[in-house]
This record gives sequence, C-alpha cells and structure tokens, in this order.
Amino acid sequence: MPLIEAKQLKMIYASEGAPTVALGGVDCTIEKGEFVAVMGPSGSGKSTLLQILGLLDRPTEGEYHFDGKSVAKYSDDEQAELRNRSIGFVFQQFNLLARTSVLENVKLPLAYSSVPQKEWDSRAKKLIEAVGLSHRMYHEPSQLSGGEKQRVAIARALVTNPEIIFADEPTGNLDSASGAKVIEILRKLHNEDGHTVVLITHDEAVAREAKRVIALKDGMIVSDTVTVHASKR
Amino acid sequence: MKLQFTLHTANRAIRANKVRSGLTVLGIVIGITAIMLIVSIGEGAQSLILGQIEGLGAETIVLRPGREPKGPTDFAQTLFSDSIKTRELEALKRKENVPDIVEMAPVVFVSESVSYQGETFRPSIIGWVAEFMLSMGNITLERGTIFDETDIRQDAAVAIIGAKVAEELFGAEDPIGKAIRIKDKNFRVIGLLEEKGAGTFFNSNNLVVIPYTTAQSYLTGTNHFQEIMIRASSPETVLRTVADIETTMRDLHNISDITKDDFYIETQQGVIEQVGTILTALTAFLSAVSAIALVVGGIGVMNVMLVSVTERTKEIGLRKALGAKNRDIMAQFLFEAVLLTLFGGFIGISLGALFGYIASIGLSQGLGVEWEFTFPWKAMLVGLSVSAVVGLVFGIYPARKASRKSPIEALRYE
Repeated sequence: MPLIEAKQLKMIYASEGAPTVALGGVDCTIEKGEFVAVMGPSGSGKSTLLQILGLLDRPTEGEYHFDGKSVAKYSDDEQAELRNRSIGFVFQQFNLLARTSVLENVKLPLAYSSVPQKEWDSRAKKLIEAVGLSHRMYHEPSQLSGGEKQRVAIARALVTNPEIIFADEPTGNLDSASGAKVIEILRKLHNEDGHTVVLITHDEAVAREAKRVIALKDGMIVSDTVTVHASKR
Repeated sequence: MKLQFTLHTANRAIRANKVRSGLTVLGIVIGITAIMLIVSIGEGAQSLILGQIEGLGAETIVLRPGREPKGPTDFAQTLFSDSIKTRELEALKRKENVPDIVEMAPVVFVSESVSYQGETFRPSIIGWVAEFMLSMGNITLERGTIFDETDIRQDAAVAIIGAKVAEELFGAEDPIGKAIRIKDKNFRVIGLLEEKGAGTFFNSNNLVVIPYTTAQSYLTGTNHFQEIMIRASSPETVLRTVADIETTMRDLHNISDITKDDFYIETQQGVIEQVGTILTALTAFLSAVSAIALVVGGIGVMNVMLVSVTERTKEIGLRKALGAKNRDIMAQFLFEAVLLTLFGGFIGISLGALFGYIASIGLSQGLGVEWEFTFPWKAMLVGLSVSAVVGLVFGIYPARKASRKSPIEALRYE
C-alpha cells in the first residue's frame, strides 16, 4: 500500500476575472521510504501540491489517500492530528519561534501530541544532537546561522517521528555550504533511517540526491523519473 | 495541549511585550484598585460607626413620637408630633408597666444661638439628663460638675458645654461659672466636656446640654419631648421592654389598631442594621461605578489581543502546521488574555490594599478616630474572579479569530 496516493488533484483559486488553475489534475503515488524531489519553475504548482499532500490545504477537487485512509474529508482537527503524528515540515523560511530556545522550538510539536511530557526533553535533545547542534541547545534562533536554523527545523520536523517529511525548498535561503549540509542530513534520514522524504527544489544538484524526480509545469506533471545513481553512493 | 505548556507559552508571550502588557492591564489595575479601596474604606467606616453606635449600649431604646419615618416628609411630622409628654414619661416610670427600665432620659432639641460677651455661636442645644449622657460612655466630663435631678426638677438655668463651644465663646478664658445667654435667658456654665475627635458619630464638642425641663419652660415653650432615651436592665430584656413600652403607650393613648401608633421605638440593633444597609448599598454603588473601569480595561485587553493575533498570524500558522488544533490555539490566546487580566487583578489588589491601609492611617490621624484597616478578603476574591472573567469574555473573540485561521494562509502571511 502506497503511503501517498492522490488522484486528479485540482486546485483552482477563484480570483477576479479568470480563475487561476494552480493544479490541473495531478496523479501522484509515493511509497514508504522513497526520496522524491519535486521540480519545476515558479508558478508550476509544486508548492501547492506539497501543501495539499502535507494537509495544509484542501484541493478543490480530487482524491487523497494517506496511509490507505481517505483524508480529504477529514475535519480540520483530524487533519491537525494527522499532521502532528505523521507529517514533518521543513520550510524555506525556517519558521522557528523567535525569542524561543532551540530546545523549546524542537519540542513544540510534542506539545500538540500524545507523547508524555516527561519524554519531551530526551526526544528533542536526541534530535538536536543528531543534527549537530548540541552546543546550541539554549540559543535563540536570532543567534543561529541560516544553516543552523534549518537544522533546528529538521530536528523539529522529526520530533514526533513522522511517516514523511515535506521540505519546501529547504536550501532556498542558504549558501551552498550550509545547503549541502542540510541536504546531507535529509539524505541520511532517508538512507540510514528509512524516512520518506519529499523535497521541493530549484537546484538540479539537490534534485540529483533524490532517487525520483517529479517535474511540474503549469499545474501538470510533465515527467516522473527514477534516477538510480544516487542510491549507488 | 498540556496545561502547564499553555501557561508557559502565555506567560512568555506576555513577557515578550512587557511595556505593552503593562499598559494593557492598566484599566484592570485601576478598576480593581478602586474597588478594593472603596470596599476597604467602606468596611472601615462601617466598623467605626457600628462601634460607636454599639458604644451607646445594646440595651438602649429610643422612643419617639409620631409614625416611624418612611420618607422625608415623615421626619418633619416626627419633629412636630407632641404625643410624648411628661404624662407618658410618668407612665413608663411605673414598674408595673415596664419593669425592666433602669434609666430614662427625655430629649428636647433647641434651635437657638448661644452668646457670651458679644461672641455668638450656634451649637446643638439639647435639653437632656446629664447622668444619662455620661453613662453612655462616649461623652466624658473634663471639668466642673453636672446637673442632677434637683436641678431638673427646679428648671435650673445651668449648662454643660462642649470643647468647641467653649473655644468659640470663651477662647482661652475659663468658662466654668460664667453666664452664657440663650434666647434672653442666662445659663451658668457648670461643666466642660472633654474634647473628642471630629469623626465621632455623635459630636459632643458642639453640644450645650441643659436640663430638659429648663429647655421646655424657657426655650421651646412646649411640653413634649422629641425622644425619650431608655436603658433596659440588660440586652436580653430589650425585646420585652420594647413590648412593654408599646403596651403602655397604646393603653395610654387608647390605640387598638397598631397601624395607628402615634409613637415608634428604635433599638440599637435596629440602628445597626439600618447603618449597615446604607453603607453596604453605598459601597455597592461605588463599586459598580468602578466596575466601569473594568469594562473599559477589558476592551483594552481585547484590542491588544486582536493586534497580537494579527501580529502572530505566522506563529499561528506554524503551530497549526505542526499539529495544533483549533482549540489549542484558542486555549493559548484565551490563557494569555486571562493571565494578563489576572496579573492586572493581582496588582490592583495589592495597590488597593496598600492605598486602603494608607487611607486608614490618614483617616485615623485626620479625624482623630480609631480607624481600623480591614483587608477586604471578599473584594479580593471578587476582584480576582472578575478580572479572570474579564479576560475570558474579552479574550474569546480574539482567540476565536486566531483559532479559525487556515494554516497555509497564516503561514503565508507577511
């Protein structure tokens, strides 16, 4: 059973004049353990697709099964619970809480989970260590570099031990060295821990790390290629 | 979401904007401070006044002519009613009528000026019984003597004067033995009353006390009393004595229908209840006025919470993306509002108690009375719950607004 199975996803924004079609009927299946890169020029609908697959937004039309369950009809709260339990996000803008320590930021999703509070600290600390930021545990985001911020965001995305990580241009705001480090962490998550990762990127080099590349243009999938070389590394 | 975590989050949000949070709760602080202060002073006044009334003695009964005043016009009727005269006094004196009376003092009010060698002053002149006056406990003689039963029987032209009267008429001169003039009649000053604080319920400094018989024959020209002060043998016999007085008076005046009574009786208990009712009503009214500050303060809180929700749209989006449900966001902002107003409530209670304490010292010294500071526990509890409720009520709308934001739109918000 695929982790994600979406059929004929359409997203049409009603605006003055002609409605804008962001997604024009996209079929998409992602298996557990895959590392998928989504590429496409801006306005191609890749962010919209990611938001729908990540349950942040609802499609105008289409079917969406997550882990075998039809989640399109889920209530807001049911979707929130599923996001908390099964989905981790990494955003281009980092989206860390300002004036809040790294540790607190990473613990944030646990506050909305059923994980007992006494486990919060140990879980968060383990992941902060895993992204190499133990020495930054009690620093605030303003004291961190961009790359460090994004690594905090990755630790946060992983803290509820989700089924899938969605990363929307995680290296978009980073210099190439920091970007490479972030990609390296994501690749390791996939290779060593078997996480499912879906990554949006503009960067061909980043996309090459993935085993499968989906290309979008004007709200339609134009290619869906499995590349083998990455796994040979 | 865990309660502790919600509290922690709300606390941090408030601390992040210390100045703004402080200004926001100012309205709440002022409202709660005012209520605490008013209730504290109200309770102080109540205990002071009640203490003084109780000082008159729980066994004191006052008999007045006319119907019991129910409105402003009834007071005038009481003042001019002449249903209590020497005949009634004599009837009440008889042990077979009212066995538990130990002492009685008719009271005649005189509305005149007093003069001494060109100095004129308008005191409260009372035709009374001097022994009864001193036995009440809160009026004491400083110098001289008092008039006795013989003086009363003989309509003696003697007077006991208060400290203020002495000062106005005599200045530094010793008043004892001097003759003062009331309505063309000379009175020899035989006694001087001790000066009492101005705040006392019954201002003895302003008194000129003369035998009630003298007041009737030389000054008012009438033969009735404005009241008779009666002392029962003990507080326990007061009720029985009241009943005996009523029976005696009705027999004497041939009254069979008690609604046609031409007299009424007040006991200290009744006065205490009346004063309590008046002060409670006054305190409640003033508190209600200060409650307006709370409403205004609540609107301020709502305003700032609305701004805060808009400012933190992105944070709301992020929290939702990470799995916060609508009720989690709602709880977060509601907690923040309630914590904010509770914080204001705490400050208000502390300030109110502090000002109340300062006021009690000021009133004690300014009025020369023993003004007791009471910490208004009830007002504190009411203040705390009211500030929490204000936070809840005025926090709900912003919190709902926050909770209903769609996660992706909130995340995209710049």
